[in-house]
Amino acid sequence: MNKEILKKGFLNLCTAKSMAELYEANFKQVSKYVHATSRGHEAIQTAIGMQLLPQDYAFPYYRDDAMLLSFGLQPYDLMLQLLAKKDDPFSGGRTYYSHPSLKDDDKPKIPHQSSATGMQAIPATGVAMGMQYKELQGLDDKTLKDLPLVVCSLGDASVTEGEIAEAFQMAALKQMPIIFLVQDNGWDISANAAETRAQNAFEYARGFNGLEAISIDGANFIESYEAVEKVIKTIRKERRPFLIHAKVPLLNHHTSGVRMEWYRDDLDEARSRDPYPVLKKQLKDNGFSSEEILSIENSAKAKVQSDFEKALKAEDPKPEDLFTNDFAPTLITEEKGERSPKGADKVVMVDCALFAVEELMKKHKECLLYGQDVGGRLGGVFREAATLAQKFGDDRVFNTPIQEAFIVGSTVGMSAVGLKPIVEVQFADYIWPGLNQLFTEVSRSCYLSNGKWPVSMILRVPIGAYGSGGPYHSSSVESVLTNIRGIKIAYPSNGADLKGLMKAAYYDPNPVVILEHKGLYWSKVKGTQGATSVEPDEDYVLPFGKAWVLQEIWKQENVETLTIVTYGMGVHWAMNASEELGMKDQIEVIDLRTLFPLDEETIMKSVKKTGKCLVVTEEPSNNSFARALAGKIQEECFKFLDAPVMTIGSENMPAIPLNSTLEETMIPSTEKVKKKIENLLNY
Amino acid sequence: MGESITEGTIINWLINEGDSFNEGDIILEVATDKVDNEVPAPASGTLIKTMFQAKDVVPVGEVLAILEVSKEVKTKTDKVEKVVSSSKFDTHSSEKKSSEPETFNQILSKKFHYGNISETQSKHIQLPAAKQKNSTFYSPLIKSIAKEHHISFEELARIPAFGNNGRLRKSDLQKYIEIGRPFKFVQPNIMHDPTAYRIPQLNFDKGKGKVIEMDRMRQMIADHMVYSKHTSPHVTAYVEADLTNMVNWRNANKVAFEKKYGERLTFTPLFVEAVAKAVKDYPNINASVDGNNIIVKEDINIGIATALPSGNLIVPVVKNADTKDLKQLAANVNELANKARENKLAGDDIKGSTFTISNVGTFGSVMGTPIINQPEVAILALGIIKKRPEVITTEKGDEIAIRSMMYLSLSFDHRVVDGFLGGSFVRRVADYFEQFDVDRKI
Repeated sequence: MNKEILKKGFLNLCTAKSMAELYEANFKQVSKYVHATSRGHEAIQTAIGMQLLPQDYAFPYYRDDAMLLSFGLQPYDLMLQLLAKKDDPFSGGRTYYSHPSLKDDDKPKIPHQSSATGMQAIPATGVAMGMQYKELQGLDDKTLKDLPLVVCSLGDASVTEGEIAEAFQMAALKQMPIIFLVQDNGWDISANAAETRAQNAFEYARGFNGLEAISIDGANFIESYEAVEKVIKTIRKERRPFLIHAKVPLLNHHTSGVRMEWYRDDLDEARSRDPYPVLKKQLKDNGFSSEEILSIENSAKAKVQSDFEKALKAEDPKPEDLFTNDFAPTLITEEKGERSPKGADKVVMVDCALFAVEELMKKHKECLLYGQDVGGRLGGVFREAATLAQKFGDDRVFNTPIQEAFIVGSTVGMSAVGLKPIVEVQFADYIWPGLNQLFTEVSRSCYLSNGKWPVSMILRVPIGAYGSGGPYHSSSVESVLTNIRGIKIAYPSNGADLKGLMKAAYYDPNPVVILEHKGLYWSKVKGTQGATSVEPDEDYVLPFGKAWVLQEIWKQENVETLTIVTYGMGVHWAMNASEELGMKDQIEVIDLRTLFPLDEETIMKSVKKTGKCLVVTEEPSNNSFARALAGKIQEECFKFLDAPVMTIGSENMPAIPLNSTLEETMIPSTEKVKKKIENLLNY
Repeated sequence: MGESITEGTIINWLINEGDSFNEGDIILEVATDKVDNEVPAPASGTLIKTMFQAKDVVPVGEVLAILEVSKEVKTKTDKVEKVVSSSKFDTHSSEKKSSEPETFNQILSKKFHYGNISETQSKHIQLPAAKQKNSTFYSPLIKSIAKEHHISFEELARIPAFGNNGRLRKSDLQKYIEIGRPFKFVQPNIMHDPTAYRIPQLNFDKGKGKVIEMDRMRQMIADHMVYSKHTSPHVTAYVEADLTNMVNWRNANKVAFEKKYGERLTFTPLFVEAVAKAVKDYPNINASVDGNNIIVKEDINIGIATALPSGNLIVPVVKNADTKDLKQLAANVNELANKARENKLAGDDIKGSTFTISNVGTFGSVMGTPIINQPEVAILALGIIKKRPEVITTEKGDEIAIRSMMYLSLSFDHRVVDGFLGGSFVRRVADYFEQFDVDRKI
């Protein structure tokens, strides 16, 4: 083997080992913040890290500090994160040691990934899917000598998790250029392999046709290097997925938070498999003298020591550093374009969305649409994607399996390679499996990567009750979403808004969820004719965070007035109620349009004017977005209020029943809103 | 009082220039053509200058006086000198600051305005007690508005409230401010007294009858009657009088009287003369009640209840009836009767009566139970003079004779007039009627 590779590999291993030893020696000082080290895993990590190119994407995991060093990062860089310093290159002190995110030109790209084990598999697969898409569409970089690939690093225990199956399934199905590197040390903190799995990752991979797997000794540098070299060469050429199962010993604590001496019963056996003496011997076998080897070791130690001293002196973040990079700035801040062009057709809301997506796909090759049943055969269960696959091809508009986690989480990877995915979960009732990805990966990427990796994606969610949809096709979930910080949320009440917001969402560099009420899609529900709009122009955009004062009134002191704050279907109940009561000049109606960002200025201004406020929602009202908003209004407008801010929503029952009488009793209506208005006006 | 009010007459100043006053003290009395007003002080302070004198007629909107308001209103102990130190108040400054007083004309115009509005709002002000007794909770907005307008909690409590459970709403408060804060000063606490009289819930069935809106005068009569009955426990005493002598004398002398004095001789001056004489005998019947005091009037001014052509009731007054001879009384009575017929009774003609006569016999009534003309304490009703067979005692013994008889009834305020006084008085009137001197010279 090439001596330079061995020397470089040994230096990397020694550096990582020295760091682990230094952290143990300075335990009190460095364990203020939790950390894990690669001790025992250095050989395989170094072997793969040395062979990646800047065009490759890597998802190293929290035990992968040796891999990070092999990408060219310095001990100082990693120590800044160890000590949560301001100049931590990954997160500016926001996340733990060896939780990298990187966008350096000369190194493999590292999108943000959460600390939750196994959750990086779907985003990593998303990157590979994005690479494939770009190659299919001719969007890839033709100047590259070598085609890029993805490395997703996993611990063997995480392979037992469900989302891993979705990632493997899709990688195998679509033959994506990805390596799943599984480092198997046999431990799941204190639970061993016998307790946690029926088979190891290598064996598990056999269930996924098209996913080729190899199993190697990850503690043997030369074996690892050569195996990885072969796999990488194959993927760059053949564009297909591999799983490398690398057996390694865990020689340090699981993390700084637990002591291995308390529960490990295999320490001696594990130490007998230490990669360090193995590689040292491989150097000797390849002609390195003891002095040379010692000198490499000493230089590593010295470097680690001096970097540590330097890192200790580095600056801590300031309190004001808390408030940066929650979102990337968007260019869409004003309403622009023709909302109601002369001669344009009146179209139902679902078609406004469809036409918006069509216009975007026509204009931008980066735009693609996937989800359940959106492909050519059906075009969406609501016909919300009708004809798109025929117009733009099955590569740009395609079906996924019933995998909400993959649908949502893959957008992290898609966005990381510069694509703009529009995805869909079929009913809000089924968003739950996707919430993990939305929360742990999508929403925090920008903030925890300190602005490097905002996720630009649109998640369309048909939502709401529309007449006997029953308990699994009717639910409202916006409060769950508004409790996730780091995403934007639109909930339009009409087609024109939906089109304008869809466009704004597309050009927004941040993740956006668009809640689309099924009862408004075709204006078929009584009293929702207002959802059908003249179709806005192609260049019409509606910025997020600008509420619409749909019905404006003058300040009147000698009659009772009130503001209704609402969104989605609530807008229609509010408008119908105020009309039927003949109180259009007493009731101001605010259509929020977006739940986040929230246009608080417009709300508070109105409530201060009218003195009373009713928040209308379709959700069961307890602990809801609407309740929280009511509280906020109360806090801000207290001195201006002539009555408590009230909220009306669905009854607080676990589900919307199927029977139409029960459903009607459960959810609000124009009649119920009318009663509430009278109640509040007479208060 | 109504929206037609354009001017008022200053009756008198109760506070003189340079004098200080406390909040609520009456500063002056203002009369309009129908109602007299007392103008209370909006805050404690000093009267700097009066712009008009008593008896002056002042158009609505004119400045009446300049006040200086003391800032430390309640501090009366050892900081007297500080109480006076205050902000000069210019009556023409448009926006008032927190402790600055309003000009009297502002108050006046507001009061007028209120009087006006109160007619249309009267329904609100006379709400049933359940609705009237509002909750003591005030929303943050109400508190904010109250602060801005310097409305105290006490004042807030007096404002009619129409929210659920009697809560004061924004619109209630705003309407109240717009009509000039009619309850700005403490009102007689009628509505808040749980034992006080309350208007019952009446369900009027209008049927097919016509609706006649009461004119202003009718409303005042109605209010006055209710007030009188509500205020004075009425007791009525009846006596009978033989008026044969009086009737004979009048029949014998009326032509000569008219020839001599140019005045028709009706029974009324004869009645007035006798009543005035009896009042002199029993001065306590000529009185008013003022809280815990009985005011016995010096002048004997006899009011005569009279029907106007419109059907409304009015009471012209024969002033100092006890000092006038029959000729003067006849002239006075005739003048008032003529004026009444022609709707020309002036303010002075209907003011100041101390005792009232109602001649119900005019309409053929045998007797009546009149309602006291407040603030008097008794009223005399005279029935029809009717010839009846009467047993009389002559030198020949008892005989039946044809006599001109009259029933007299006196309603009196039992708070201050007992049966002894009331009965004695009305008997004395009857005695004077009966003992009429048939040989009297005209």
